Order: sequence, then structure tokens, then C-alpha cells
Amino acid sequence: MTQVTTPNGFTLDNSGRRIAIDPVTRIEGHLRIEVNVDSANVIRNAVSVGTMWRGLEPILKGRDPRDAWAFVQRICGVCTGVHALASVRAVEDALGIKIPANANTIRNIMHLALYVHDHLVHFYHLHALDWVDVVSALSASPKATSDLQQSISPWPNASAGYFKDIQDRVKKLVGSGQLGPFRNGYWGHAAYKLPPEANLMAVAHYIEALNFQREIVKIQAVFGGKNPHPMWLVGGVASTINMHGTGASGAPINVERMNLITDIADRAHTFISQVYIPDLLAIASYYREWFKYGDGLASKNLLAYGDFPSKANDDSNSSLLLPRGAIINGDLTKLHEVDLRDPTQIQEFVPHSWYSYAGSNAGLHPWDGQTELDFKLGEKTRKTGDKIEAFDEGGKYSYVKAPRWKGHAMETGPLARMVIAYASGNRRVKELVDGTLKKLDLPLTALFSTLGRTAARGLEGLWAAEQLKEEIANLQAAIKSGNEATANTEKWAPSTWPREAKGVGYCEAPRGALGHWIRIKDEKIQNYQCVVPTTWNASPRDAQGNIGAYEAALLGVPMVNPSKPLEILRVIHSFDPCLACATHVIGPDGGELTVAKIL
Amino acid sequence: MKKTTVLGIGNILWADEGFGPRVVARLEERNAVSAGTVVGADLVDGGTQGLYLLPLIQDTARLVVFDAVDFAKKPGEIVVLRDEEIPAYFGQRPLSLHQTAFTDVLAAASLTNAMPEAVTLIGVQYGNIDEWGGGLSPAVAAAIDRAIEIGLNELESWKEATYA
Repeated sequence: MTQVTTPNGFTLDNSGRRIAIDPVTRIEGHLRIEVNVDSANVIRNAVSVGTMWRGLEPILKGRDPRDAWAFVQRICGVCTGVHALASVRAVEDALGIKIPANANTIRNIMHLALYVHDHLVHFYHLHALDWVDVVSALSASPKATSDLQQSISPWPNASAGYFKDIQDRVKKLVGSGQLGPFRNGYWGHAAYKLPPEANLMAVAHYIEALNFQREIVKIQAVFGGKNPHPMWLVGGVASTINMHGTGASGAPINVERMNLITDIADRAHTFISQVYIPDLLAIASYYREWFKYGDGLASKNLLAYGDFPSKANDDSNSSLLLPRGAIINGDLTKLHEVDLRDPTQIQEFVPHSWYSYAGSNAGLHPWDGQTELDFKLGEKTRKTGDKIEAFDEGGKYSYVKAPRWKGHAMETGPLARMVIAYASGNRRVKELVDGTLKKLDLPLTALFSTLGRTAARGLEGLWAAEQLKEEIANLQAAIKSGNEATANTEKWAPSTWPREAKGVGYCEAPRGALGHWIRIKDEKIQNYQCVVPTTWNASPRDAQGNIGAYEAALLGVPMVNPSKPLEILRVIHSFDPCLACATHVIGPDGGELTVAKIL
Repeated sequence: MKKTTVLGIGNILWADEGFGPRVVARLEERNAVSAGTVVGADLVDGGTQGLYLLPLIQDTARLVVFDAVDFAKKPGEIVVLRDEEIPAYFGQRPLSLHQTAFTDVLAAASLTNAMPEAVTLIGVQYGNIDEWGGGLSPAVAAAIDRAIEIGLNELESWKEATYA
């Protein structure tokens, strides 16, 4: 290949300089991005490589299905709750277990709290530093920062003295010349555009968000019994309600704890509406060109499984607060029905993945999925000794499979959910999206971009905080009416199960559509397949050459300096990637570093 | 009052990467058999929670961390790092939030003025971290009890020290 056009409408040209970005660690990394740039440093080809095998499925075979959630929640430390939720739903679906209304509400509360938490942490602690130059904040005028803060939000931490304190604290930390905690960054990069005062304001909120996240996790601990790693339960939730009876003071859910979570939800809502959203708008107004870069599949194909059933055991779109559906070829007037059980709809392909399917290269529905490793490199792979310099995207190049919906590569995540809710006429989502676009004076199509994705996540965070308050009120009302049931144990005993069963558990994780497919035979797990959000977004090519969301979104993005690939981080971070997690082993030279290599 | 915390971190699905949580599990067993093996400290399996462990660190005055490390030693060899010897800075712009290292958590603690007064990292050189679903390799499994003794001594020495 030098230049080809993919069936899904993208032109790829791999003749220019190749750049590889990889987390450098002695353990194999997780996600590696390679791009080719033209003579003007514009990205003309992109290759998304999942470099670590996530072989969870074989671990689960032969286990008790009621225990699966405890294994899958260890796939990823940040995503523990979503895997556990998808898992218990899959088992309940397979065995026909109906959960009580309170269990449904409590799961919604835990899941909404995760949205608020995850979106906040993603924005401030991963993505913000793609736009905010910490070093520039040191030259800001605290007085002017105070004026800026007061002009955009009623948030009380706004005095010149406050910003002076923050500035002094950061100065002290970076003062040693080593930049302290911020020693690794692209500070001073020409692609940073915020004035020093906006940088200082954002750094202050970065620190405030670090402190605020401690509050929001308490909701998980109340309902999940502990945190990290809250408890989950097939048939409901693992927390009992006892508001007034004997032993109420020690019960997981009592008056005091309901007051606690109500207070936390109120404060989360205030933080998002007075800090996160105004920061997002302020940053966006300085980077308007990023409402053009990074579209990829967004303006074409979007997928959501939907989530937050308002009625227990009802996953139809009349019940789901965020709807399920697919948008194809950018036609927002038609929401396609998505059926996770239909073997012809969701299929995974492996011609460019390090797996093989027995006897065939056809797509497999996850119920029939296989996880057989087949590590082979394409013949154009560039190596130095044993070290791979550049993968050959003509051959197999990723541990991520290529999932497709009716053959289409799809983008999933907050942008997909917000657009699908918008297209289905969700009034609150329409208000949030239209209001934001109006403030920024942008058309709807601006959503299909790097900053559109980032804005959609922020708006969804606000939506989730509002909904969190509502669901807590719903739980209060249900308890008041005397309903304290939180689990259904009728089918707990395996003797009540059919000999063979299969089920699917859906979940909209903060970063996109997550599905777990299970087959149970003779009381044990016979097959278990997870298709995670990042599998959709980080997908490699399929047999026809269709590219996935990351690869498509990087095309056409101009870079200032390919050895400091800030622009690539902006695009990829806007998706909030997750591959399997490890704590990243500490070595003599510290933690993990990401380097860009120009080949 | 701030706590004393014994924290094990790592992914238990991933062979020697699971060293930290398995040390915590062993300490819990020992506590159950012989009450008071660890007195006055919280035992926490931190998994791979990354930045989400920050609240725990902020609430902790004295911290022992068990983790798999890579110091190019023989598998099972133990490395002990204290306070400033442990790097505390944000990794260079990772591609994913899910790549945060413990060094990032310490950096966040220092940024929020909430570094524990004392931190001791007890690391074991890993052998195999490639095998999903695998348990600890023999050399690393054998290091658990030695690592625990070092940790208990550390807790003991802190009892004697006076902290502001």
C-alpha cells in the first residue's frame, strides 16, 4: 500500500514518516499507536495496536457463574463496577432471575456515581493536561485569574489569595528544576494555547478534583459494603435496608447513610455544574479548531447498548434512561435497533488480530466466541533484533479483536450515547447539547470531533449528576412506602437452574458499550466472552480493510512536532481508552514512561 | 487521626503482578489464625485502582506498600525503598488513565498536601508477569513470608518512633 481507500470511506497513505508511540515499560504495554505523517506533518495513516493479551475468558471456564463478577471486576481497576454489573446481568439473563425494584435503583445509583467519578477524573487527570500548560500557570496573575474565575462561574474558591496559594504550592513542587510531580510533560509545546490565567484556574481545579473524588467513592462503599472492590450479587445487591428497625444503626442502608449519599450527590452536582462544565467551555473556546479534528467514525457510525433501566428487569428503550441503538452513515433521523442476541448483528473478526478461529475467518457472535492465541507478524514488520520498531498493518497486529455491528465499524462512548439519546428525542440531553453548542456558537456537526467527544463526556457527567439525585430520591420514596427488598434468592441454588442456559449482560461503561456473553452448562461456566468498549474504539482493521474509531479519528490531524505527539494524545484521550490494567511496576528510574519514536 | 495502612497493589489475574494483593491476603489469614499479627493498621487490597487509591493515601500517616517491582534482580529478591527513595511524579502523559502507576498516586498526594509521614515500599522482583490466570511463580511465592517479616518490623519501628 501507499494509498488506499477503505470500504468505510477513508484514504490511507503510509508512504510518509512513521511515528510510534508506546508506553515504555519492561512489562509489555497496552496500547500503542503508530502513524504515518506527510511532509507537512499531517497524519495520513494510523495503526492502533493492543499489545497485551487480556485472556480472561479461559480463566472463567468451569467456574461457578455466581462468582464470575468477582473475577471480571479485576480485569481493570478503574472499571471494576462495570464488569461486575455486566456479569451479574448476564447470569440473571441466562437463568431468568428477576431483581427487586430497589436493587435496580441501587445499581443505577452506583453506576451513576461511577459516571460522575470517572468523567471527572478522566477530564482533570488524564485529558486536561493535553490542553493546560502547568508551567505557564506559574506566570499567571492571581488577580486576573480571580477575575476570570468569577466571570465564568459562581464557584466560591475564586479569590486572588486562593489562586496565589495554589500557584505557590505548584511553584514549590516544581521549583527544584525537576518539575516534581510534573517532570514528564510537553510543557511549552506550541500547541498549548491557553493564557496563563486559564492555565492557573485549571490547575487549581485539577487539585480540587483530586480532593473531591474522595467524596464520590463513598457512594460505592455504602452500597457495595467496601471500596475498593465493592460487593455485587446475582439476584440483586449485597446491601440490606434497615431504616428504623432493631440493628438499623449497623445496617448498610439506614437513615444516616441515605443522608450522607444525598449530600454527596448534591455536592457532586454543584462541582460539575460550577467547575467542570465552565472549565470545559473555557478551554474549548481557545481550541475551536479541535471541533474539526478527530471525527473519524463519529459522524458516521455510533453504537450504544443503553443503560439505566427506570423499571427493574425491563431493558426496552421505554425503560432505559439512556437508549440503545445504532446510527449508520450519520443519519440521525433513523435509530437502528440493536439486538445483542442476534448472531448476525454483533460479530468479532480476527484477520488482523493475534487470534485464530478454528477453521474459519468468519465473524463470530460472542456466544460462540473463541479466544485462541495466534501470534504472527506481517512480513513488512520492521524489527531491530527482537525489538519491533513498526508493525505491519497488512498482517496481524493487535490483541484487540475487530468487533462489527452488521459489518460496520462503530464508535462507542459518551459521544455515541449523547447523540443517540439526542436522536431519540431525549429532552434533557437535547437541552444540554443544544445549549452548549449555542454558547460556543457551533453547529451540531461540531460534536463529531475531538472536543465534541470531550464536551459530550462533560455534558453526560452533568446529566448523570442530575439523575443520581433523582435516583436517590426514588430510593427514599420506595423505602418510605415500606419496600425494603434488595435481593431475589429464589434461584440462588444451582439445583433450580436449567441444565444449559445462555445469557447476555449489557452495560454502558463510562467509556462505552460493554457486553458480557455467558453460556452455562451443568451449573458451571462453559463459555464467557467480554466485548469491551475499547475493543470497539481501538479495533484493528477487518478482512475488508474497514478501519476502527481510533485509526479513523487520527487521520488528517496536523502535528506541530512529531517527536512530542501532543495532538495524538488529545485525539486518543478524548475516547478515554482502557485496556487491561496493571499497577505498572516501579523500577529504578521510576514508573512508566511514554515515548514517541520517529522511525 | 490518620491511619496506618498496609496496602497490596497489583493485578491478581496476572501471575507475579498479583504479589501485593496476595501478601495482604496472607496477612489476613495470619491475623485470623493468630489474632494481632498486625495490630492498629488497616489491611487493604488495592488491586489496580491507580488514582482511585488517593483518598486512602490521603487518610494515611504511615504506609507500607507491597508491590511487584523490576530492579533487574533475581525473581523473588526483595527491594525496600523508603520515603524520598520512592519516585513520586506523574508518568509522561500515558495513553490511558488506566496506566497510572503508584508513583502517580504519590504525586497526587504531594500535590494535595497529603503525603503520608512515612512510606515504605516492599517490592519483590517479579519473574513471570505474562501469564493470565497464573498464580505466583515459585520464587515470588516463596518471598511472601520474608516480605511480611520486613513489613511487620517496619510497623514495629514506627510504633517506637514519635510522629508529630
